[in-house]
Amino acid sequence: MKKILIIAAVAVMGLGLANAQSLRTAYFLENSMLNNSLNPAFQPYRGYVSIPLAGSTDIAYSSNSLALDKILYPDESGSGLVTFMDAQVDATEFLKNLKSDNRVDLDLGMKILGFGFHSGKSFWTFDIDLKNNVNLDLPREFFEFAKIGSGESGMTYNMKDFGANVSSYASVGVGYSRTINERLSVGAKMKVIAGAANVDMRYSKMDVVMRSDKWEIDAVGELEASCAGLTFEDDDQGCIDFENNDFSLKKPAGWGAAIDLGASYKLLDERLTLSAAVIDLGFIKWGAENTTSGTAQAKYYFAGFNVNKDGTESSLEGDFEDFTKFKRVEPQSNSTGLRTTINVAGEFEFVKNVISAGLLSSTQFRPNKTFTELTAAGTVRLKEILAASVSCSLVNGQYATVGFAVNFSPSWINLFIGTDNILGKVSKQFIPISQRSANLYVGLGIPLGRKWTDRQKSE
Amino acid sequence: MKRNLKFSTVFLILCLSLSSCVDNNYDLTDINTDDITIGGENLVIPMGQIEINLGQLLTKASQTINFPVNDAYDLGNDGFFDGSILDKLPNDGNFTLVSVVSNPIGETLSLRLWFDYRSGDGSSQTHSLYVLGDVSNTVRVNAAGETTVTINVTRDMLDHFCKAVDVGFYIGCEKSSVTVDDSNLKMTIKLTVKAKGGIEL
Repeated sequence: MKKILIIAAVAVMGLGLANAQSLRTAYFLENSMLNNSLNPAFQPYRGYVSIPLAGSTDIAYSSNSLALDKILYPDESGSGLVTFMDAQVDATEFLKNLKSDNRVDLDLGMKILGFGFHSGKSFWTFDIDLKNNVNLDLPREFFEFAKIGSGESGMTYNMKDFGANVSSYASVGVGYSRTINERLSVGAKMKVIAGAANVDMRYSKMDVVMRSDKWEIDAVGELEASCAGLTFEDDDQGCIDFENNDFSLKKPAGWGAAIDLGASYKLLDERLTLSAAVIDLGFIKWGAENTTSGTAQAKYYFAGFNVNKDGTESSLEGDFEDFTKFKRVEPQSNSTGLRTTINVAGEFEFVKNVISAGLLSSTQFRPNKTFTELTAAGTVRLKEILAASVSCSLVNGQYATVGFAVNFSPSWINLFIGTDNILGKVSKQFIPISQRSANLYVGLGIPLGRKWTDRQKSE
Repeated sequence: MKRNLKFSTVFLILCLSLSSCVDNNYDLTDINTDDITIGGENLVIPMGQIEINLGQLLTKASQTINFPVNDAYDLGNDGFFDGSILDKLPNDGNFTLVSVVSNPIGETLSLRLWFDYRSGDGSSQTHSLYVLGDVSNTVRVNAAGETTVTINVTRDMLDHFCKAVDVGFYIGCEKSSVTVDDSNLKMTIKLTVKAKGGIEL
């Protein structure tokens, strides 16, 4: 139990993955290495080779309620941090910020290798990327259970839909973009995906009664863990023993494929650009031989003893921590969809190739959830050397964020940094402390080929 | 080249401005997880209930309870109560044992209740843990209603409680006897433990 809670807390606080839908602010930065990943029809001014392991790194965190400082609190001793589960954290103070369903997403992405080059009216890309996603669904009652327990007079909790998902995969993609004519460009990217891990734990039922006359837990949960090379032993009760495992990496836990499609069209003397793209339309199939499956069906009942003249009865049934134990069941192969994103945008250039304003609608589809973000951005370009965007996004119609992105690309380097949510205070590990949503993208590459202006002249 | 230098400087300043926002007090490598608990500040744990069937104490002829009554229930030799849930409570916690006595008789009663446990592995050393009253005093139980009595206990006392082999009680009344109509009248004593600090994980 402690392990699960710590893992959940660490996931919330550290790895930081998100409802991260790429860096929306970069959509209108034509010269960045990133915007081709938002719409494969886009072509940067010049080709590039990304610096291995530093070509593009992104980290994103988002939650509808929880920021880092709502999970971790300064230790009253004056040194270090304690979790919200610590006794010194006041329950009322902690619970006041929570919603009925609390979602936490953490995304971490890294480009291992990437390059792109122009060939006539075409632009080719090749990328190897790593992606990690963590998603937690935490009902408010989970936190109440943790912080209040029975209270003074007893409590009843319904923590249905408590769950967590962790996935990790690498993708190898080849992209092609073609300028059909002065107005129309189209592009596509094919990706082969090697799945490293997909762990999904979810409780369809979690009723907890903590009263002075009885404690009762009735829980039904399922676990699917597909991990490359990782196997778990059973404990003496036939339950999966997560601490007793063996790791021997031989091959990916799953294989998949995905495609990106995009198009852009220029109107009004090429001042207005309309564009649309579908990103990560695909799936990963996880093999049964790499999957560990388990179910938790816990019934715990405790009402103490009953003593009378005829004898003594004890009411104990089950174990308090049974709901954290998953009995092994026959694993089956399963498929998971990627987080498919649809981007639709319009951009108008007030001063051609210098100042523009754009509007981007970005919708990401996940199992049982859809996230929509609307971003307005203003972009300034100083020739092909420097471009900067400032954006304002409305996230799921709930709250607004302000971001910026800068692409610096003289002849010898292509440096990129951006965020959809300007950072406030961050931890030593660069995790935002007070923000419910944050992301940061950094990229470094070496330009290839002729300058955009030179090519324009020759064409 | 000069212009590139300017741009580089601007870019560097931008990066540095981000790093200047680092709060050194938030170091995710220094998290204390030793005191993680669930249950929060107050935890109430059911311990069980004792039923004293006053009907079985009646004088058959007169349907009259003769006071005082001393009696004991045998709980077995190995302790009667699975106290595994108590193992999760902090050793240095503050505990309160709450007894709610339900008195079905329309007379104020005096009540003493204790659990006998044996220390060590021997069976000769028997000690008594008084839950209501003590070795010489009783508590007053209101007529025809509930009376709540709380006592502070230590973790050791709770362990002794779980290992009890007998529960003994004394019931007294100002009147020498009380006549009742219902031979199935039961006095119930519900016991709960209130703990500060939650369950340790």
